[in-house]
Amino acid sequence: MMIWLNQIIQGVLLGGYYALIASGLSFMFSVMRIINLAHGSLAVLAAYMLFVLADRFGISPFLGLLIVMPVMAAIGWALQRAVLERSLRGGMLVPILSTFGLSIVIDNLLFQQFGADTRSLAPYIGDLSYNSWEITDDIDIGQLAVLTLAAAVLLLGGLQLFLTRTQLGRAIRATAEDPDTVGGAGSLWGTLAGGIVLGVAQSIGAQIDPQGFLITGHLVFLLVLFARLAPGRFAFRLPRVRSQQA
Amino acid sequence: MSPSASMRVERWTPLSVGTVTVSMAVLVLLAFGPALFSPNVIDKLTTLFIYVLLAVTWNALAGYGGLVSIGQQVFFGLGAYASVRLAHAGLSVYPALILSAILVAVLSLPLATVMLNLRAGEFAIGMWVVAELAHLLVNLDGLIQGETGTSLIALDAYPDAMRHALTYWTALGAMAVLLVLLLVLLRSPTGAAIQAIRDNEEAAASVGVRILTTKRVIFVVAAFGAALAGALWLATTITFQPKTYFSVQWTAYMIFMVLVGGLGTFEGPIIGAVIFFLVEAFFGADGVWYLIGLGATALIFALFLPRGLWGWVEARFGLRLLPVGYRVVAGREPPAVPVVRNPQTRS
Repeated sequence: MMIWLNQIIQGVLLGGYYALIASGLSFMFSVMRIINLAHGSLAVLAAYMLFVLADRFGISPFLGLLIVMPVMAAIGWALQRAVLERSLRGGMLVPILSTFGLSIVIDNLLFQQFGADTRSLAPYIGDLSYNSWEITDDIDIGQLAVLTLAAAVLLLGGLQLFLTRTQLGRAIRATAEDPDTVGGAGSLWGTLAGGIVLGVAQSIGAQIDPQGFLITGHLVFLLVLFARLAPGRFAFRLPRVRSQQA
Repeated sequence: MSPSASMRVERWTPLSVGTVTVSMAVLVLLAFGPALFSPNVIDKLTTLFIYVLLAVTWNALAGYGGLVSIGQQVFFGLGAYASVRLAHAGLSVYPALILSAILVAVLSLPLATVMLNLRAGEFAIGMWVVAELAHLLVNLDGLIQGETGTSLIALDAYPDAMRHALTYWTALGAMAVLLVLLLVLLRSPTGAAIQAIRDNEEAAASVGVRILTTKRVIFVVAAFGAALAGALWLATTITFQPKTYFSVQWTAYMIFMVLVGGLGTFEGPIIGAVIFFLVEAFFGADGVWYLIGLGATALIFALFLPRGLWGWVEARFGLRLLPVGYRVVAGREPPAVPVVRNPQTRS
């Protein structure tokens, strides 16, 4: 019993990480209706930047964020101008094609630069990479995982405050095509819920069978996608993919 | 002097009749390939035929059906996997290749029913997840031994030269059948419906096009083509590693070929496949930079020339080699400008 409870807790924490990754994707999709297939590649690019800063220049990843975040914002702005705005003019399908091309370019540039070796930021964050709080004999909660979940909640909450309380936020909501974004920030908390559903499904799947982690996650993804087609029956939605007529 | 008296609708032109005749002649000539070319050329041409298969079927789905799938490798991989399974069950290898593609096409029918409810980006990503899921499930099969993979050992029964020739003929036949099938399909009322849906789904529905049925036809044809390509690829490489066959790279290749050649044109993907084949021959050894180049080229075409090289030629010169649409010609004047085909893209 405790094992299952532990899997659920770990799943929720993992879900926080997914929500953090997906929040930008979700925000972009609700405002612009673009699914940026290069989103994951950009996340990995940012991670490598942190790694290089830590590895070459000895800058702590937390300080490194102060450098990497503005750089990534600038890259995002450049991509918006050079790729996304132009793609949008071509209709619904062009952004999928262009961002897919972009992801191939980024992935392979990173591969060219860094090879296939696994890298980790763990050596640069000290105890935090393995410290945990022991709740019971069966349940340990990793401090880094909690920090990640907290970051996701803070980011999504901050985004909501920004959208509802600032002039720019109101302007963005006014141009959004998604009713939920216009009304507030429903899709943002949906992102958190989606991430947690995915994380819990994966860790429960992994408990059932070592191969089950990804399989269960993928199955749940598809199930949610189709459950959404039967409107009204299911309250939750996956953050990244939302119906046109929401 | 009413307008209808001076207008006529034309489909076949002397040029398109000529093109079809030449194409037929080329296909017949290619059928004698194993007697004419060296084994190396035979292998290269087999690869080219498989690329054409992949390009034209992905184009049918995306360019004509308006359904961008990033998960076509699911059918490619399952086609190869089913071949391994059928051969293992004792079926003769070459019939097994064809039968496996048919099986995958049958399997794609229920999948179509579910997936086609999704729209644009949802469909694209949903297909990717389906492909990943199929990959993971195939890995569970003891015969495949996870990522280690297995081989189509039954191919050893054939002497080398004969095996290469048989694979070549099967690939040539598959390509020819698919091309004719698509040409006939796109010229049929279903083809008109498919293009109407691509141009405007709501409008098509309002004039009585049965959206889901029509999309299902094209989805199954595309699945069949990709499965056939996967089975044929297995016959050329012999080894089956799930990671290779279910790789998203196959879809990247399809997108490259179709975008460069011409999305939504019949001739474009064939040209795109030939270009991709040449690019690979010259730059394939460059590994990572080659892939970067492919991605960048696809990106540039998507942004600046979304209808590809052939789309540009068509618009520029009004050329139609293989007519899948109609055009209205005024009086007895020679056709100057094509009128009807893709009203939306002709701005």
